Amino acid sequence: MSAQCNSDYNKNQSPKIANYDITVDLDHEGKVAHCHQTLKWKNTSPDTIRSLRFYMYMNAFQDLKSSYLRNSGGKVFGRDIADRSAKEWGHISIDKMLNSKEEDLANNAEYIQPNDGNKYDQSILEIALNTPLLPGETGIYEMDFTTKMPKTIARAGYSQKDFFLFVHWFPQVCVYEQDKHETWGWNSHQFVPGTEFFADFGDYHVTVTASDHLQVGASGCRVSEIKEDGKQVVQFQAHDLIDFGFVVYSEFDVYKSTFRGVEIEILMPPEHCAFADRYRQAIEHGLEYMNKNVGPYPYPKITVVDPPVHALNSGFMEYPMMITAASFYGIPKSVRSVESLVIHEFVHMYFMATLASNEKEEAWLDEGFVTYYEDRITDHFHGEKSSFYNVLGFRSGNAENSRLEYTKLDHSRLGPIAAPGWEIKGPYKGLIYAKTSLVLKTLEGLVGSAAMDKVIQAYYNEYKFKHPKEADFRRITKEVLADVYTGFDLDLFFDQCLHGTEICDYEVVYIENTELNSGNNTKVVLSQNGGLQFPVSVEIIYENGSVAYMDWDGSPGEKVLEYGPGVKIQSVNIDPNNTIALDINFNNNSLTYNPNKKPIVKYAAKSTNWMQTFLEYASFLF
Amino acid sequence: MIQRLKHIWNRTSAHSAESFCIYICQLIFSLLIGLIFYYTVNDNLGQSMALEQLASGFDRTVIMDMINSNENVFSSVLSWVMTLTPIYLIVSTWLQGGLLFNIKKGEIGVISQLKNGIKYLIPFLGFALLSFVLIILLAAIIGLPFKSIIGDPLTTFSSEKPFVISLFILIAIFSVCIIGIWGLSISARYNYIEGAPFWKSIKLGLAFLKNHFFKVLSIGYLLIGIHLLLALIYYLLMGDRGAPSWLIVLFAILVQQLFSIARVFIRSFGYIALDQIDDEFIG
Repeated sequence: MSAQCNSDYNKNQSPKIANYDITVDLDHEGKVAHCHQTLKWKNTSPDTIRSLRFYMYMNAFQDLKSSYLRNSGGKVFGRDIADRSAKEWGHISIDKMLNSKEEDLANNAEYIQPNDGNKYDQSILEIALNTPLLPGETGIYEMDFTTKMPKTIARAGYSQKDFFLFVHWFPQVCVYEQDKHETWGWNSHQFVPGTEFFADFGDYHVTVTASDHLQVGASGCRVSEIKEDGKQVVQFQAHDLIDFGFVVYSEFDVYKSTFRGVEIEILMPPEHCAFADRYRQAIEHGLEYMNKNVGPYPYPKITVVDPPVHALNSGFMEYPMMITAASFYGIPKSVRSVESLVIHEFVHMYFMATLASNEKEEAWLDEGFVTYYEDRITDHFHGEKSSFYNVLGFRSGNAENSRLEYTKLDHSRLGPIAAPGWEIKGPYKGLIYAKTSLVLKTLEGLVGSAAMDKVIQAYYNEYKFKHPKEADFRRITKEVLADVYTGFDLDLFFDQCLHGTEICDYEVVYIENTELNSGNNTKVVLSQNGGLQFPVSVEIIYENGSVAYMDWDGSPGEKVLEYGPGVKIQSVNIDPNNTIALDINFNNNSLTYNPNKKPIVKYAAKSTNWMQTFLEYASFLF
Repeated sequence: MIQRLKHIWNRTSAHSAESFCIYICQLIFSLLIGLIFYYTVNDNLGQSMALEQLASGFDRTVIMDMINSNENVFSSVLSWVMTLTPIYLIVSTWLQGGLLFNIKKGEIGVISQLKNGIKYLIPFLGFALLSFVLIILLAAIIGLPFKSIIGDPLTTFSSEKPFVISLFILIAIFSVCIIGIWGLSISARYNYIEGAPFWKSIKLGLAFLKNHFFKVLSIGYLLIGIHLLLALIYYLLMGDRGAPSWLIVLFAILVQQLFSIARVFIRSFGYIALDQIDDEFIG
């Protein structure tokens, strides 16, 4: 394969704090990689750094005692892991770490457990530097390390003979940053479920040596490839990334194309070839929509990896400039879960790879924003009510599906979404992905799509290649909306949506019409059954056909509307355009004296027919 | 071949009254479900303007909001389905038994169907239950080794293609078994009507199956094919039209009922086709 990527793209977009030059010698039969890494780490803090901390996340998969697996209940992605043989576990170790004075620092290494004190957890390593790093100084370290790949677990690992997904595979420096009290220190969380990315930007030069029967794909651009004596040496280069992953497999077919100057490389097993075009189109949709509505895609390339079925657990994931999808032979075009997944992972190139918020502490800034755009993109290109699937008359939109992920939850147990990953117990997807998406959709409903786009564009422009936090997004939102919309309290909006556990459920409780001479007023009783408060519009349709609208602040509890005697109201509809996406039940938002019974009759007839069909088939032997 | 099919169809038409009797009975049972469904949805959505969305086609949000706000919304419908199904199976054994008697003995009419069907109710229930047990056993015999050989299909295979293909093969084998058991069950009933004792009927049925296995299989697959074709036509005709007008609702009901009648007739067609072979066999 030839060199990749247009060399014209901007290679200096980030502060380049942690830079890696890694050579990998892959023993695919032993499932081991022997690696050498040159780390250049820049101290951008005002502190003198006396030790470096590294993510050694592969050690989370060395036995059941790690904090990751202790918290996973013996199963990862629904698969039992307890009965693994010794060779199916993985680990990572630093064999040597030389500083510029050629002193080996590996002896100074000590595993630490800053989160839970689990002494068996080896996911964070602290190495004391014999020579401290002064503010502004860059330390250069030559490191030898060994990574033994586990059998696929939580994406990383090997599957069958020669499929490998190398993620969490090298000693990666943690982030030295200011906390919310503006105190500098290491942000170095142990690896536990629900947490993944937080690292500094930098450049990566990765050289992989492997058997020449294998295909290699990676986060970056391929710059050279040499094959001789049954081996291949492939060099990758990537700028301004927070992480680097690569994939190896003997059976990949490679599909390449270019869209708006971005190279799209799809690696998939031959039996999935029918999906190549669907993947390509999904990426193009993502690129087109995000370029227009958020900002230009900052990288020259995107690699899409479609793992074979035996490595399905490597799918459904994002890495900078590389995503892993998932498909299954025979999924029809009318089921767009394939496209939806690819778009979701692609949008992570914006929310994770570029706006590199701390996924461990604030996953909603990452997965939630991604889900919001996944919904917008798929609904835009495939229709609001059919973008997720449209099969035999049954259909669902992507945003509709995300909303149902949230509304089907047991609401009494919901926690806040602005919480660290390890504190979120239970419905992670329903909360972090779906609820956040609905919070953003509700904000969009309140301020309008154009204003919402301005907010996100401003957020992207100001914080790309940085580590934005909740406060940053709130500040940007307030600044942008100050010129556009002043109708409600944004702080209240964010406080209740991000940190509260309340729900939203508007209801028209009853309409009481009266006669002109009755002496009683006509009454309408509205209610907000939850604790959230959003301003809403209420549509009132009178018996004579005239329509009126009123604004309601939507505060919790009942709201009584009174009209003079004899006023005849036919229908009342709270939030007629369903702008408050967080509302858990749209059906009770309206009440009418002139209901359309046709669908009920139709569905009753349909249920009669379903029963007839069922009885006919169930009784075929009777 | 065409002549033979035409002859079978003529005989099926001659037994229209019996088929209609089965259809009416099925309709009565199903209407109960339809009514309960109507009142359930009406109680939950009857005064909501969300019905307008359902009028323009299937709307998952409306349906799911109804279920989420009252998770037991369809429990009464389901419990009625659970109650009515076994009752219908008994009634079906009676009515289908009467139809089989009329076919075998050349009688026509609902009175004969009802009168003779009741005579054979208990033994025919026996045949039905025996067939049911046989299907369960065969499913286990075919399915369990398949499961143990394949293990976890997501990790056993290098690709899902062999898994999907082997699943199709398994379904094909299973469909052959089901058609075989169906043929055996109907043939045994014909033999019983002809006066053979219970177990002898089964033995004769097995002999019939052995001698005419491929004919029975052809009939079975022909019926399955017609059912699939009907389902396709129904989908193409109806799709998701929503309920924009009463005329469309009425049209939908008419089409649904036409297809229900067709399904009952297809079954009679199958009985008569087997009887033709049986006659040739005995003859």
